[in-house]
Amino acid sequence: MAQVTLENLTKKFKSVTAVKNLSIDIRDQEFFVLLGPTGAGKTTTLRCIAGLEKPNGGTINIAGQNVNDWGPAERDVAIVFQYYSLYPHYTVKQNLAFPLKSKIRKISPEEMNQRIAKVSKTLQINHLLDRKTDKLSGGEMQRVAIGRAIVREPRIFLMDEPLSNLDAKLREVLRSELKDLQMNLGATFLYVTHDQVEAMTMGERIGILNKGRLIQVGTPYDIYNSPANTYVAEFVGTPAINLFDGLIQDSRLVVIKNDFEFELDQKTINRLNGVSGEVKIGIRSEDIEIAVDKGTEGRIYLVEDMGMGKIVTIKINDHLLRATVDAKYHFEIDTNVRFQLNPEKLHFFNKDSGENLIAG
Amino acid sequence: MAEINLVEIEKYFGKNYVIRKLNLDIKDGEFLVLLGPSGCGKTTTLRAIAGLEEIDSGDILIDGQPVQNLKASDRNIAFVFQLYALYPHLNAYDNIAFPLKATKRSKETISLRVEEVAKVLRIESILDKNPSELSSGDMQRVAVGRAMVRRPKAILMDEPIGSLDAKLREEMRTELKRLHIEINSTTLYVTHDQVEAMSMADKVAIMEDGVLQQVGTPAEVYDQPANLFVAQFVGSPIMNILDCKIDTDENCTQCFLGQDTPALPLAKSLYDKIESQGVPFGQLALGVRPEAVRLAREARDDYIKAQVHVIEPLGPFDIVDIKVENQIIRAKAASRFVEKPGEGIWLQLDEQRTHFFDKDTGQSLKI
Repeated sequence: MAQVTLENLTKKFKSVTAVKNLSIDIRDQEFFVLLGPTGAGKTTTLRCIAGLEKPNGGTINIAGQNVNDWGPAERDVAIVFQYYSLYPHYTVKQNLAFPLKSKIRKISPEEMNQRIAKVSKTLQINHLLDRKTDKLSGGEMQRVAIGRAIVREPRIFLMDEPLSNLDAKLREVLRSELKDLQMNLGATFLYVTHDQVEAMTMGERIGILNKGRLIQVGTPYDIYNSPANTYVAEFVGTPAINLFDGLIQDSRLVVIKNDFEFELDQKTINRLNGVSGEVKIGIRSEDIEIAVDKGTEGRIYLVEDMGMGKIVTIKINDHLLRATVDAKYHFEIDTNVRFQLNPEKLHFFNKDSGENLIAG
Repeated sequence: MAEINLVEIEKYFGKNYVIRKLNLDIKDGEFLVLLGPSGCGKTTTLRAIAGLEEIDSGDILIDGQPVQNLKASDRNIAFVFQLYALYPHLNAYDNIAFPLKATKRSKETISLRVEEVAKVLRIESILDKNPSELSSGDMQRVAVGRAMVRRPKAILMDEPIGSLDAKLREEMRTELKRLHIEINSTTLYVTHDQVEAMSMADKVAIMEDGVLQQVGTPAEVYDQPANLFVAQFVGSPIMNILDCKIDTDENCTQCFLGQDTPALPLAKSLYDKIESQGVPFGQLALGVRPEAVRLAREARDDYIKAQVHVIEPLGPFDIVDIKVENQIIRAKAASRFVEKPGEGIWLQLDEQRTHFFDKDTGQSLKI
């Protein structure tokens, strides 16, 4: 079993608290993603779990055992870094063999060859075994770096933004491969990234960090459909969620400055459960319906043809709303258009704290 | 503004043949995006137009005049490096006036030019503000204003928003594109990010290894990619490229994605069209974008059975990785349409959006 439990983990660097009271339960064989912008504390968290940093407070449990005092080698975790330093003048085979030559783990040469053969087959790098690593492409190097972690057959894989140096196309290909690999290995993966697409497509659950604190943990669907606050709502999803100030009157009417207003349907009123007054309203671009017969009128400010769909930016006085529509529709800029917001998909946040006002 | 023509441009760095007989036209007022991976030659091309690199042969024409032998400062082209690089200690007015102050023009002339540019960019009301007080959209307009104030013939931009966070990049794209619609400047924008290219370009020119692969509107390069490179570079999620075998019977063209998999029936006329292209059938690759793959949870006529391998939730929809024998097809599906890996699924392709490529040359069979 390879669960990882963090309880109130805290790590300070001089006056900066990089990680604050972080508590997470990562399940055995889970692909867990830690998501957040640069400086959120994700790499620090990873390094604490690996044993490369000593926490200032809290406990780290691996498979039920407190490992706070254990060194990195004893914890039996493998790390894949963003800048995967392979030994450039050694071959791929030699690079893969290196971790197996450690004095702590006694492995016979037969066992070593077996493991290397298995790993290179899984990662499709067996044709590269005799090549020096400085002659490899980015994607090939990445596979060798991952292979170097897999040969050790650790309980837990820690990955720190391993794809961020690769181009978009390769990142997409390797994402599916990594997910497939994790399923086949049956290993626990803790994957750290700032890229919300990576988090959404690979994570069974995602933990979102902001300035060292854990904001929300949930499946991709939970995080996307029920964000805990505006920070999470804005972090996940492209285009970014539309957020604007609004006023709920008598728990049924939404007024946006003097620009537009709409009545809420009964289902949404029930969801609101009596919330009234000034709020922050969120609506995702795919939940705005345009070119309808009724609804609010706005002016088409911009149309971006993204291929799979179009992003239409609508201007209502000072407000700009982004809506995504199917590519087959055509819109002229600087013309008027009517639109409606799907009431079931409206999010309501506290206007000061940004907390989601609707539970669950 | 001006038209720019690149005629048979060649550039070597030592032995590296970096720009290989490039021909490209940028029309007056057009926003052309030069798109390609790192090292494809796009930045070198931009710098050659600006006069920061010399070319080895060919002509660079601005409004019909060859400029390749002119110094950068004599070409009257503005280079915008990063949209945030405003002088923080100067207000918007002084930022825009800066390039003119160096030319020793009179105060009145400078004032007139700045006001003129501010009017076009609709930033008259913020001229007295410092960059720290400006929104990102306004900062961008000031940066462009600084480029425009010398009345350049064209504006060149080299990956100006790549280092910004995702949300800011989105906002900048909107503002840049809107700005271009308003001022209609001849613009050459270089990037490796196909999202930026699709969003902002009037025309996209895709480059690889110093060679132009295709030039067209965003819709054209997306819907009718000229070759495998363009097909897989433009559009996210990526187009599926699959091995297939084509055969025919009385009713239809049969498309086999695997030896033991039933055929996907396609229009009968397709077989003849493919055959007439003269590409050996063993060399065919099928290209289909995830949104052109139709899915069903139960058996349906003309659909083939397959298995769900991996589900990739994107938020507004899922990408479902489906195993058909040894191949994986990625299909767009409604969020949670498919519940878990291992489930059976039935699929079919939208024929109108199915492409065929010659695997050897990479070229699209224009069908």
